[in-house]
Amino acid sequence: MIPSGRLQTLVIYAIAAAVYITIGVFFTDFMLSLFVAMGYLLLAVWLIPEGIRRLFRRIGGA
Amino acid sequence: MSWAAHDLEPYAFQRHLGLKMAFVPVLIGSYAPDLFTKWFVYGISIFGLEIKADDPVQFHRGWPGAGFTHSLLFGVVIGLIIWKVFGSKLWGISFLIGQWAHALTDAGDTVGTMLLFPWTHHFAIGAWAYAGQTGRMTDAAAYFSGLGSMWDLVWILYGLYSWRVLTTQYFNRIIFVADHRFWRFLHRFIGRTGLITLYRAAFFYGCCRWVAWTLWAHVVHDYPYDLSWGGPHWVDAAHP
Repeated sequence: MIPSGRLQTLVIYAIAAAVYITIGVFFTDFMLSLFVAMGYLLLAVWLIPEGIRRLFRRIGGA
Repeated sequence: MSWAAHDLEPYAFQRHLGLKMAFVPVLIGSYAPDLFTKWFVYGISIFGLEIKADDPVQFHRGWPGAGFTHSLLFGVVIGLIIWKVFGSKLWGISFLIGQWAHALTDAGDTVGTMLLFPWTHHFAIGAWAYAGQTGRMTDAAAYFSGLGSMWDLVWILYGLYSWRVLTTQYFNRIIFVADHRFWRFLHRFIGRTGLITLYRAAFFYGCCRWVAWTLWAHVVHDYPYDLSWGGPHWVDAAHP
């Protein structure tokens, strides 16, 4: 069994990868730079999920 | 030339070397030979002006040219400079590991690399076609249709087999500890989750672009696979 925290991380990365690949197939310039990938990954697996988490916390606390 | 292998090899070394290497300089070393040359090989357009090497193969891998960046000596010299200037033997050796991996991997294509520069002999295994001179898109299509693509796949599978090096626990216990000055500095700006994300980025990048270029070449377009030695033979492979 995969621990739930690790599974959640895995799912977030898998979704990020699917979106990255989809964009990359049709706009190949998107895949040319590691720095673009770093920025995208920070956004997709850290900043956006963190923002959503905070939003839900705020709604739950209200 | 190779594509995703340079993104993925550092994680394989990490599995075996643990605290004996710093991850970031290995990654920098792994990209270093192509860092300032690849754009000139493929050519770019600035305000309608096309800038490209007259002889991309000679420029990329030859001498006169920037081919010395793919030699073992280049890794030693830059590694020594890093050691003496920045005072970090670990960074110097780690850079060397990454750069040597790049130089040896690129010896797999039909042009090969001048591994023992200043001796200008090209060591070429010739397993896949070098097609950098045809431009980025044809090069990508050729690479992801031949044995080079399979070589990348080996590193992806080995990386997945070594999945523990990608975990938070491994990062905290090994990666951060081995190079704590660098990671502690970065920690001030992006926190622990940001650090781990950045650490995983090259692996993510390598795997995703392997899948995406493969889909682009064989689903969106119709480039045929040719896994024969030195292939694909539908492209004009360059030789030294």
